[in-house]
Amino acid sequence: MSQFESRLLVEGVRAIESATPTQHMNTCKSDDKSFEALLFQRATEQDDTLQITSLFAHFKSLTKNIYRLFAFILFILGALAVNNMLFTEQLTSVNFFWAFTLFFIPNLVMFGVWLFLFLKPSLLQNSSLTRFTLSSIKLIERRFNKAQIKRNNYWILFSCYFELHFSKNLGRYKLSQLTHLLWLSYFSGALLMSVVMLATHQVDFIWQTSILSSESFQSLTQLLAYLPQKLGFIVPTIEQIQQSHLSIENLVDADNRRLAWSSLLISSLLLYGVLPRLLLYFYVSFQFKQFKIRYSLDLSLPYYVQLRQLLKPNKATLGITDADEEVTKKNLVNFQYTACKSVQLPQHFYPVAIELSAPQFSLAKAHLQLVFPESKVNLVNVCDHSQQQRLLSDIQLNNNQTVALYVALNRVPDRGLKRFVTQLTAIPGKQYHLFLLVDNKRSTQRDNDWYRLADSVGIQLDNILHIDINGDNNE
Amino acid sequence: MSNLSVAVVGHANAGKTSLMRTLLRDSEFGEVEDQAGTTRHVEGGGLLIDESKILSLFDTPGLEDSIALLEILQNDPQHKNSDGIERLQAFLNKLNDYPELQQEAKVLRAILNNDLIFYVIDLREPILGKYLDELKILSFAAKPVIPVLNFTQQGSENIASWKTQLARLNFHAFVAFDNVHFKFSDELKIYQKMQSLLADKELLLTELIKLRESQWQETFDTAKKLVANLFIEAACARYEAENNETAIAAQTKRLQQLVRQAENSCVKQLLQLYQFRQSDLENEALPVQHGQWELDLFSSDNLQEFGISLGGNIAKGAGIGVAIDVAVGGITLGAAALSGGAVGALWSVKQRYYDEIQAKIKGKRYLCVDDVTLQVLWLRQLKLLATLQQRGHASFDKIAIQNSANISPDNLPKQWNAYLRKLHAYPQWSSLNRATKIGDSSKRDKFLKALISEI
Repeated sequence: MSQFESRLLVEGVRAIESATPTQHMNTCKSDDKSFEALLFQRATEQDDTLQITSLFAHFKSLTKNIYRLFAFILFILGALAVNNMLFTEQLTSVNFFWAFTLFFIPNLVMFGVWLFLFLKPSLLQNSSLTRFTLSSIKLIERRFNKAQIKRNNYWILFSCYFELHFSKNLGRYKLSQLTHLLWLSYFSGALLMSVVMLATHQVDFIWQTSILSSESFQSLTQLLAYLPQKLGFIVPTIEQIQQSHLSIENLVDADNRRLAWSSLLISSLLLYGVLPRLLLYFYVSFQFKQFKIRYSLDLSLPYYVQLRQLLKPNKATLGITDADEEVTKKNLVNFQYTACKSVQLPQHFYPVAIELSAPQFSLAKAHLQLVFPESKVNLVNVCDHSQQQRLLSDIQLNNNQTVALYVALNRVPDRGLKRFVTQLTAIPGKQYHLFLLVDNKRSTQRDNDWYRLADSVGIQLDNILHIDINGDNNE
Repeated sequence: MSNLSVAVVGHANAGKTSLMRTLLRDSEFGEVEDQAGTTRHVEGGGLLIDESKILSLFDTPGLEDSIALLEILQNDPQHKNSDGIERLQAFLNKLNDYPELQQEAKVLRAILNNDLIFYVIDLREPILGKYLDELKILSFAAKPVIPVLNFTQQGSENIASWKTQLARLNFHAFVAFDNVHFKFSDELKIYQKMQSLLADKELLLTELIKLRESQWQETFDTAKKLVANLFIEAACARYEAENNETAIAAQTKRLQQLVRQAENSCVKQLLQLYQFRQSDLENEALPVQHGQWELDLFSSDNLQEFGISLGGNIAKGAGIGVAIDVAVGGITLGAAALSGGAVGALWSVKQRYYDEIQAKIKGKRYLCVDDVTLQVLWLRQLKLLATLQQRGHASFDKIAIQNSANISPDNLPKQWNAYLRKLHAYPQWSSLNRATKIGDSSKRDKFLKALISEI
């Protein structure tokens, strides 16, 4: 499969999947393959079930056959045109320049039209030629390939194939190829018929004019004959040109004159009709092949960006490198803190603040002042190791049996805090209360965390008090 | 493989796993919960630079008892004169003596094994002794440390004090990076800070920065393409209905359904593109109304379009005429070419307006999505896009797409009405319509680009 065909296959899968990659993906993610290689690998896997390649091959041969059919029709038309124009029963003489004009002026006009459309590719893509070709293809398919049409995704792939072949640069050259092929066929038909007819019929060539001078016709003929003459074709001499004027009745050298004019007509058809179209046909065919080789997928399309994330992610999973040996069970107990209502404040207590922010600490002090104005203890915010150690020794020395710990509800109780509170509660003869300072909103999760900590360090759950910073409803 | 590895450490619940998720754009990485001790192992994820280069990031358990750990590290009588690394190694060698510090040991192993350390700070927290102890412990590893200030929005009042404190401890290369309110420029700052600390990895990090920038741009461009495309699909959609209430109601329902489906599909793709979960979205149904498709042959846009097509088809038609004439060897060349031109023009009209004229004659109506709905659709998508651009992968809040977006001319593209007129002239641009033909996509692509530039 050529690179173009593989990309076409990928586009076929995209057409079927539409906006998002939906098909099952067996393709292994691989670091050593390019994204496009992975795309192709995936498309090949999909092709087994979707049968895209076979349908595209069918479209390819269909297009070829349509081109051939068109070429054949134009070949016949070219032949018929010569037959009608030059060799009717009534006609024994042919006006050479009128015949030339009828053949070559339309060719020139159409060449101009093609060139204009070629330079504006969008017009060519949307031209009558495109529509006519597609309609013909559809007609043939509907008439002769009914089984194909019934295949899954037939019309999706039909659109995909011909959108691609008849659009942008590919379409520009594919449609140009068709244009030149048609004209080539037309001139070939005309040339062949001319040779056959001139070989089997006798016609005299004349020229005539009402407003132009004879000299200008002679110069024109010489100009026209220049290239054929250089290439060895027999062309009319000045005398023969003069003798062919309509008003001159001259039977002298009539055979040679007929031969010279016939030779000029055939060589003109060949050199000014067939050859340029043939060269253009080869040129656009070559360009079409080049663009096929250069054809690339538009990987900036959302579809491909999404696929890139799936097939060639920009991240890797490195796994667990230092696994936890313990199997922890979280949230074994959910404490119903709301049930603990009407908690009574102790009469006297030794207050301690633990890891409070400055505003929280101020509020704790304000609360202490409010509920225990006679307290002479200087409230300390214990935030580091030395303060922890100092507090442990202070409490051991203090006679007060009740210790109230001011903590912030929104702070996550960690193992370090638990260790410290455990050290506190391990001091004999003390009872502990936990004052949870609530700012912002209360979180069930955080409540549970603190209740669990209290439970694990031996603080009675009834001794937990919520102090609402924003309001005064303590519970 | 050329590697650079980073240990992401910090206190419990500071947002280490969230940082990993956001940098890796992976909402499924690790476990994130609002409690201590959620991450209990070291888990890695890597940002691939190319086939041979990777930036590895290792998430670690929280340092929950740094006070006890520092106490042990500092007061080990056998290592009074040892340096930091030796002290850490000594601690790890006799870890069995400290079963309660197993999690901290994992962090120590991680910081010793990696090139660099991200220390994640929850700015909502006051500066506590345990955090300073954590920083002291990290300095024992003799590795570059980048403090990452998380929750910058919620903890904005603590930023100054944290910065001062970090400077006192000689940590000057910190970065602000909010995992919830994500800014791509902040992510780049992290890599730039890494560059300044790791001179030998400068090239690798330059490559990483370029790659991340291009990936981010690609994601944004693709997202804009999706949004603009949805708008074209919806604005060009039209449904033919018999001119009676039942038929109109049925077709309206179909139209609504298809436009909603198109929007859902677009939203789904956007979420996928930014690698968020589909469940992150809280969507309000788009209130699709319907208007009547106006057959305005003589609107300026249509005339312009008609004019261009006319010119083109006159030439094409002339071509057909000439070809026929020559083929039969006739002599009415000029007349044939002229009539061919007229055929071309008529063909153009037929191509564009046949359906509309036929509908008009048969007394049918065309239904399309009305202007207000299109405005809501446009603004909803823009709002969603802005949200996705600033959303971290650790966010738990639902993304809300509401219809309450402020509809005013200021929020819409300046050429809104011109865009709509243009879109109404091209029903073939919408795949929501039944019959889509193979045709010229370049005009649609050009219009898509113009719309993208408005986003």
